[in-house]
This record gives sequence, C-alpha cells and structure tokens, in this order.
Amino acid sequence: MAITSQTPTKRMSFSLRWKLLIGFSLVFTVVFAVAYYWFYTFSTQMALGRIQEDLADTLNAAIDGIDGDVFEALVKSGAPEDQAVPAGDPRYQEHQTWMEIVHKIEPRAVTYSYVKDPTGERVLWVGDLYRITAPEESTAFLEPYTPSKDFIFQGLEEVTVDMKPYPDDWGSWVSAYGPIRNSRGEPVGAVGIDFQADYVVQVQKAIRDSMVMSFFVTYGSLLVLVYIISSVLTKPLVSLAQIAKKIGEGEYNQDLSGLTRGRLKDEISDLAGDFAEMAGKVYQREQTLRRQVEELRIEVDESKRKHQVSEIVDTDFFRELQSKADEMRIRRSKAGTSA
Amino acid sequence: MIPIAAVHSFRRGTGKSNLTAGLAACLALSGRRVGVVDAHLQAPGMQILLGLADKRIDYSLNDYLWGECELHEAAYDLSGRLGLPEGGPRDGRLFLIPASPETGDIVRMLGRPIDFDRLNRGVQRLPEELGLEAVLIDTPAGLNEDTLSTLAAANSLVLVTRPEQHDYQGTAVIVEVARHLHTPRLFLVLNGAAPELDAEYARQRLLEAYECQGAAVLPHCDELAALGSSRPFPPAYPDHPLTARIQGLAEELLMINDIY
Repeated sequence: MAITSQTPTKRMSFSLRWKLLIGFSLVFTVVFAVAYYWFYTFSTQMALGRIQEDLADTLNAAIDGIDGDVFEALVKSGAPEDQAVPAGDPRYQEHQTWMEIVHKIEPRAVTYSYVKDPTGERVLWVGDLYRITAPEESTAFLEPYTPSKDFIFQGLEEVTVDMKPYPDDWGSWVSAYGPIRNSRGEPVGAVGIDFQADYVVQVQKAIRDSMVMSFFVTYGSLLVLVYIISSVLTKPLVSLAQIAKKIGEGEYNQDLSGLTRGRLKDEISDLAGDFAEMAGKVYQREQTLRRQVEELRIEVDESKRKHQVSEIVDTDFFRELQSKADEMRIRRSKAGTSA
Repeated sequence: MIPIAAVHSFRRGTGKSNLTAGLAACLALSGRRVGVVDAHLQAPGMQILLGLADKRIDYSLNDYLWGECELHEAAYDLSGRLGLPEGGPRDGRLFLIPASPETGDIVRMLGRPIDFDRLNRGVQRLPEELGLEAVLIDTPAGLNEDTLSTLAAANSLVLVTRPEQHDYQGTAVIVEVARHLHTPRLFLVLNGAAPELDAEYARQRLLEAYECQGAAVLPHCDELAALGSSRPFPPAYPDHPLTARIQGLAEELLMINDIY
C-alpha cells in the first residue's frame, strides 16, 4: 500500500519551511546590506580620489599662472569707489582672464582668488570667475566673506583640500585652496577652486539604482530556490509523519520504498529505513502480544463443566472412592499425630 | 508429609511423561531420594525415559497390583543413569516402579480396574520403605476409573495442559473432580507455551482461572523436541531456562505442610 504524496499542507512542513525562508531572508538581507555599504563607500572613495587628482592639478596650474607680485600690487591698490570691480585695471583684467582660461581648460573648475581680511575672520574676494560667466552670482572686488569652514583660511598658508561634497542648487562641489606667493616667497593671497563633484553623486546614484535592482533579482531567485529546496527536504518528512500516523493507528503495511530507493543514500533514506524496521518490529510485538492474550484466554464453559463433572462424581464408583480416600487420609493423620 | 504427586492431563500428548522424568531428575540431582511410579499400565513409557532396559524388569507395578510382590520390590535404582554417585545417605536417588512392558501383562490388565485399596496402600508405604522424600506417579491422560483411583491415592496433583481452549475446558473438569476428591494440593503446568510469552502474566492467569496452589509455564523448546523422549531434559541441559522452570516446580512440590 503506497503512500500517495500530497501537497504538504501540514502544519509541520509549513513551519519548517517558514523558518527556512525567514532565516534565509534575514541572512541574505544582512549580507547584501553589508556588501552594498562596502561597495558604495569604496566606489565613492574611488570617484573622489579621481576627482581629487584633477582638482589638485587644476589648482596647481591655476596658482602657477598667477604672478604673485602683480597680485599683491593689485590688492594693495584697493577697491574702486564707483564700480564693483577695477575694470580698467589691466592687472585685474589679466587676472580675471586667467580665471576664465583655467575654467575653459577645465570646465568643472570654478576659479576664484582671495586675500585675508586684516580686520577679522573674513576673506576678501579678489578674482571671481562668476563675474564673467554668471554675473548675478558674482561678487564685488574685495567683497568680504565670512567662511563657515576653516579650509579657506588654511589655503592662505598651504594647499588645502576639502573633499566633502557640498551640494547646492547647481550641483555638488568639492574645493581646494592654495597660497599665491610673491617673488619673496611670502603668501599674498590664495586661489580657490570649486570643483564639480557631480560625478561622485552620479556614481553613487548609479550604484544605488543598480543595487536595488540586483537586490530584488538576487533575492527573488534565491527565495524561489530556497522555497524549492525546503519543499524537497520537507516532503519526505511530511511523508514519514503521515506514515507514522498510519502505523500508530495500526496500519503496519506501509510502503517506504519511495523514500529509500531512488534516492542517494542520505540521512532521509536512513531515517526511512530505520522507520520501516521499527514499524516491522512494532508489528511483531503487537502480533506476539495478541497471540499471548489469545493463548491465555482461558474460557471455561461452566454449565458444560458442571455437567461433565457430575457425570463423574455422581457415580457409585466415585462416591466409594471418595469415602475410601477420605478415610485413608484421616487414618494417616491420626497415625501421624500419634507417632 | 511426603509429597505424592500424580502427574496427569486431560489430553494425551501434553508432555506429561517428560515432565515427570524432568521433575524426578531435578529432585534427584538436587540430593533428594525420589520414586517414580509408572501408572501407565496400557502403554508403559517411563522405563525408556529413565533408562531401564526391558530385560532387567523382574517385578513391576502389575505384579504388585496382582499381589505377587511388595511395591518396593518392584523398584529399580536408576540413579547411575543420571550420573549420581553410589552410596552416601545425603546423595540423591531415583527409583522407578515400572509398568510391565510385556504384552501379556498389558492384556491381563485390560478390562480389570485397578484395586484402589492395594494401590493406595502401596503408594502410601513406599516413602517409608525406600526412604523417599517425594513420589511421582505418571498417570495416563483422561478421566476413567483407573486414573481416578490414581488421583485419589495422591496428595498432590500436577495437571499438565497445552495452551488450547479444548485443553483448558477439560482441565477445568479435572480440577473440579480433584476438589471433590479433596486432593490437598493442585499445580497447573502450561506446557509448550510460545517462547516469547510473558511467563508471569501466564502464571497469574492460570492461578486465577483454576484457583490452584501453584502454576508453572514451560516454554516450547526445540532442544526438548530433539531429545525425543529418550532421556530426561534437565541433566542434558542443566543451564537451560526450561530446566530452571522445572526445578522451580520441583521445589514447590516439596513444600508441603501437614495440613490436617
């Protein structure tokens, strides 16, 4: 009598499968999150690194192209009273042109220059690319500015880089600052480069987008795989559970060949084999017990017995025998007590 | 009081004679002097079991019943066959009073009932005459005047039954008849039980069903079948569990008190 395999709707198979699926999901999510985070950080670092190189090169080139002495003299001549910038000053024009040239060569760079404000914690803008390219955003000559970060001040003394992307309406920026020195080697101001770091943001976004996609694809396919595997594993267990139930109800003749043959020798086939053996032994024991109880069912038909006994004892022969035997016993006991 | 036990059964082929021989052997080997009386006048068999050659038989139970000798004169010491040493008052001994295997003697007995008085007297005196501590009477199966007389001469009855309904019924009849005879002690023996039978359970069932003083369960065993009633079982298989059971029954038989 073979067991037809049923769709495992049993409680046991469900909970085992759910455990597998939930466990797998948790582990997978954690592993994936860790991998994603690492990859994201790594890629960001790589992207920033590339940008930093370009930024540094641009800054150095920009500084090299500025004559420190000319710059110093320009600043010393001060801001004009009637206009925002000393437009007529050839030194100013040359400076601005240089700002533009750098930008033209490296379009990602927004160039400007500044000096420290002797009166306080501020800088004064000197050169500004925006005066040419985006006048509405531009600054006036020697216009003061109070920076929120220290990098700008540091840049007046040494090359300083701020690689933390700063987002604004026009994109994401990193910055570098470096001192302009006169012929005597003294720092007389600094060049600042705001470098477009949109590339970094793009890389990050690309990673994010592909990550989401790959997460669901990988998770989905692995989930299906786990579901299938759990089904394959729990099916024999469900079968065995059903067989066990049948055996418990006394149906010992179970066909376990589906679980033992046609299957590479593994724990399940071993279990099924042991199961079959156990069922056989239980059956034997039950049979033995049945036989025993049957053999010892001493049922005496009382009326029949009475009849058969009376046929014997209600005879002269028996009555005579009985009295002789009694007499003999009495005599013997008397002899025994008197001896 | 010396136990005088009639070994009896309702049906033939219950292993009665083998049991008698086994009980006798156990008692003798444990240092007791035991006498066996073969009351199977129609088909004598104890002499084969206990190893007494026909040609050695002078006097038999038949001769005693016919008044031609005393009962103890028909007794043969077969202790040597069990390997028991000669002499010594503490040593066990096995005596057999055979029924005559001579066809002529058997025919002579046919149709003539046993003289109960004569049998009784002889059996009662036998322990004194031979210094016996127990007497076993191998009684033929079924109830008739002769077997009734034999039962009446005994103070203990060992009833052997097979595990079959028909046997149980017949055994119940004999038990009742024995009560009418006021036989003091009754032992039930279930012979040929399945080896895996729970002996204790079986014993309890027997005690309950027949209200007897003792019960023993003897499992079927191939070794016994192989012996083929050629000799007693216990000396051949001293360590067999069956031997232990027979021994237990033998000891129970000895535990008889003066109950009058």
